[in-house]
Amino acid sequence: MSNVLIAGDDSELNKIIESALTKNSIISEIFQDENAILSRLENEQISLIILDAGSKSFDAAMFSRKLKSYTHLENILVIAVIDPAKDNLDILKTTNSCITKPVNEKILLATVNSNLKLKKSLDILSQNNSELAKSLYQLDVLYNTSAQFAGSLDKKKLINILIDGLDKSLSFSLSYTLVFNSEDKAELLINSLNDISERLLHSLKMRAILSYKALFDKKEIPYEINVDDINVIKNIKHPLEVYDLNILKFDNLFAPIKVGEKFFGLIEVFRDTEFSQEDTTCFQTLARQVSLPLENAALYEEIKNTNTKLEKLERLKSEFTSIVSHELRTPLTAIKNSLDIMLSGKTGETTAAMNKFLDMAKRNVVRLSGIINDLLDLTKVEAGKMDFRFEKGNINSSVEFVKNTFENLAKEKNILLTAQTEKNLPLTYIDAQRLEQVITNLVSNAVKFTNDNGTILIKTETIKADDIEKERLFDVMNPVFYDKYVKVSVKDSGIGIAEEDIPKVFDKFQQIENSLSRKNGGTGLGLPIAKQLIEAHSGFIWVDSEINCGTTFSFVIPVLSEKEKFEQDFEQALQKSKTANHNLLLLKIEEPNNAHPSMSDDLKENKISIIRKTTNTKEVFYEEDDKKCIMIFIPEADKFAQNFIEKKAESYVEGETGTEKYDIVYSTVLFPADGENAKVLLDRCNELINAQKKGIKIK
Amino acid sequence: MSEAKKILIVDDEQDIVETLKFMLEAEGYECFCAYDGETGLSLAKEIMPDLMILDVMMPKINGYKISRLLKYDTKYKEIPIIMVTARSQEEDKLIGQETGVNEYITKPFELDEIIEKVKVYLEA
Repeated sequence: MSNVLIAGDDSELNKIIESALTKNSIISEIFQDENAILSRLENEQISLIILDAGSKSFDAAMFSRKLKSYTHLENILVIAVIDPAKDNLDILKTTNSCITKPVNEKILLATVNSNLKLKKSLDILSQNNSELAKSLYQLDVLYNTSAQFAGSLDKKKLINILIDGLDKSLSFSLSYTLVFNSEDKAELLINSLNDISERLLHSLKMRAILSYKALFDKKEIPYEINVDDINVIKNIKHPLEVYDLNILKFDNLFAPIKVGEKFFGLIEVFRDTEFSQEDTTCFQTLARQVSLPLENAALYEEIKNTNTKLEKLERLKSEFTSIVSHELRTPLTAIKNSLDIMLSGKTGETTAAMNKFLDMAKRNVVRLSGIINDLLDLTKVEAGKMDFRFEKGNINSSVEFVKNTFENLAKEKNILLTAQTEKNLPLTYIDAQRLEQVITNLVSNAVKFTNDNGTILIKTETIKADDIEKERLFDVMNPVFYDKYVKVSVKDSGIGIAEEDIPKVFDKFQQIENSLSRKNGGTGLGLPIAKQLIEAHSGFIWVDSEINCGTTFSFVIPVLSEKEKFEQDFEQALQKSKTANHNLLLLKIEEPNNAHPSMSDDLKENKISIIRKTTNTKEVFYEEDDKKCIMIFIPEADKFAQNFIEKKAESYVEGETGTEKYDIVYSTVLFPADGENAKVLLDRCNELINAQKKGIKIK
Repeated sequence: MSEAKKILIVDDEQDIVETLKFMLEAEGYECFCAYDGETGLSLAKEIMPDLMILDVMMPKINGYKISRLLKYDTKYKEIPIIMVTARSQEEDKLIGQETGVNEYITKPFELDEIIEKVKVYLEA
C-alpha cells in the first residue's frame, strides 16, 4: 500500500519522481488534482506528500497551508519541489522540506527517506501523547469518582456513581450490575447505549447469576437468587436502537464488588473496541474503591436501624414505667387507707405490738409511694414530658422556704442549719416548685448524712461563668455557658462521699456502698432527678466531698435576659420535638399581658398560620393560605380550646400530606413583651418552613 | 338529730370505696357506692347526694363526663364533687376545673385529707 503521494500537474516530473521511488521499493501514487488528493487523504493514512510548487492547475502553496490547518492532517509531511529561480517563500512556510528542480534522484531519495523516518517517530510520539491524555482523563475520572464515593452513605447512590464513573472513563457500550437491595432481593441495573432485546436481557440475567455463583465456588452463597425474581432497572441512552446477543462478543471486563469476605454485588462492562491495560486497571480500581464506602453505607444503615429500635425501646420503657407507676398507686392507696383506718382506732383497740407493726407497714407504704413518685418524676423529666413553669423569681425565697421546712428536723438532730443568702441576688427564670424540690432533696440528704451536733449551711451568691470549675461537669455533653449565674450550695459536716463514688452520685439507682442511704430510706433517685431538673433550668449541678469531713452540693442557674430566655425556650422547644421524633412543630406561645400589639400582624405578614383563640368566646378560628407545616398557637390556658385546635391542626396536616399522620407537640415559649424579638421567632419559623418545603422533616 | 348527709362514692376500685365508706360512715355520713360511671350517674340522679366522690378512670362513663353531665344540669349542678385520680398531671387538674369539679385529690391520698375536704362542703 502506498503512503507517499506525488501531487502536481507536470506529468514528466511526476514520472521521474515515481520511477526513482519505485526503484527503491517506495510505492507512490500520482495525483494531478487537488480535490482528488483531499478525498484520498480523508480515507487513508498518508505519511508523505511530494508537492510540485510549480503546479499550474492548483495553488501549491495554498494547498499546503490548507493541509496544515486540518488537525487530523497536520501530521502529514510535505516535501516541496521548487524552482530555485522563483520566489518560493510562501510555500516553504508550510512544507517540511524541499528539493530543487531539476530533481536529483539521490537528493530526492535521501529527503524522502529521512522524512519517512521522521514521520514514523512523530507517529509514535503522537500515539504516546494521546495515550497519556487518555490516562490523565481516566485518572481525573477516578479521582472525581472517589471523591464522590466519600461523600455518600447511600448504597444506590454509590452504585450509580460507580457506573457513571466507568461510563466516563471507559465509554462502554453496555454494563450490567448485580446488587442486592435492603430486602436482600437481587437487582440488575443495566446501563446501555442502545436498548436490549428480550433474548439479550435473559442471557444477561443468566450470565449475572453464573458469575455470581462462580464467585462463591464451593462456598456458601450469601443471597439466594432466582432468574425470575431479578428486578431489572434499565437506563438506555438511545432507546430506538437495540442490542442483541452479538454484544456478548464485545470485549468485556468483570469485577466483583466486595470488601474482604463481604459481598455487595458484581459488575460487567462490554465495549465494541478492545479494552487496554489502562482501561482494565481503571475498571478494577473503581470497582475496588466503591466497596469501602458501600461497607460504610451498610454499617450506617445498621446503626440507623439500631438507633430506631433503641429509641422505640426507650419510649416503651418510659411508657411502661409510667403505666406501672400509675397502676401501683391504686392498690397502694387501698393499703394505706386500710392501715389508716386501723391506726385510727375505729376498728377497735389495738395492742402496742399491733400498733408497732401497723406503723411499720404505714411507714413502708409511704416510702413506696415516695419511690413511685420519684420514678414518675424521673421518667417524665427524662422523656421531656415534664411541664415547667418558668417565671422570673428570686432563688433566695426558695432557699428560705426549704430552710424553714427543715428547721424542726435539724433541731431534733441538734444540727445547726443556717442560710447565708446574698442580698440583691439577681432574678432568674425558675420553676420555683421544681427548684424547691431540688433544694429540699439536697438539704434532706445533708440532714440524713450529718451526725448530731453537725452543721449545714445553705448559701446563695452570684458568680461568673469563669468561676464554674468546668472539669466538674465531666458528664455534661456540650455545655453551654452564659455570663452570669446564681449559685446555690448546701454544705454539711457529714460523713462525706468516697472519692471513687463521687462520679456515681447522680446515676440512677446508685446506692453507694457503706453509705447510710439504706438505713435512711433513700430511693436512690433524688439526685438524678435533681440533676435533670437543674439541667432543665440550663444550669449545672456538682458535688465536692471529703470522707468524714463533709459534702457540698452546688448548683448554678444562669441569669438570663428576656431575649436570651426566649431564644433558649425556642431552642428547647425545637429540641423537644426532635427527641420526640415529631414531624410537626406546634408552638404554643404564651402571650404576656403586655404583648406587643403588632405581633400577630408580623406573623401574618410572614405568612405563618395563626391559630388563635379569642379571649371571651369559645370561638376558634384559624387561617391558612400557603402550604405550611408549622403553626403558631397563641392560647389562653384552656384545655378544651387546645383539644379543639389540636383536632383542627391534625386534619389540616393530614389533608396536606395524604396518608401520613403527624404527631403534634405543644411547646411553650414565652413571647418577649417588647415585641422586638418577634424577628428571632419569625426567622426561625421561616427557616423551618423552608426546610419543610424542601421535604426535610424536623428532626 | 338531723338526717345524715348523703355521700355518693363512684370508683371502680372496690377496696378504695370500702375504706372511704368506712371512714365516712364513722364520721356519721350515709354512704352510697357505685363501681362504674353509668351506675354512678343514675344513682346520683336517684338519690340526690349532698356530695360526690368521683374517680376519673372508670369503665363506661369516666369521671369527667359524669361531672360535666351533672354540672351542666341545673337540677344537679349544686352537688359538690371531689375528683380522685392516680393521674397528677397539671392538665388533668385543668380539665377537672373546666368540668366544674370542686376539689381534686391525687392517689395515694390521705383519708384525713378527704374527710377534711368533705367537712368543708357539708358542715359549712
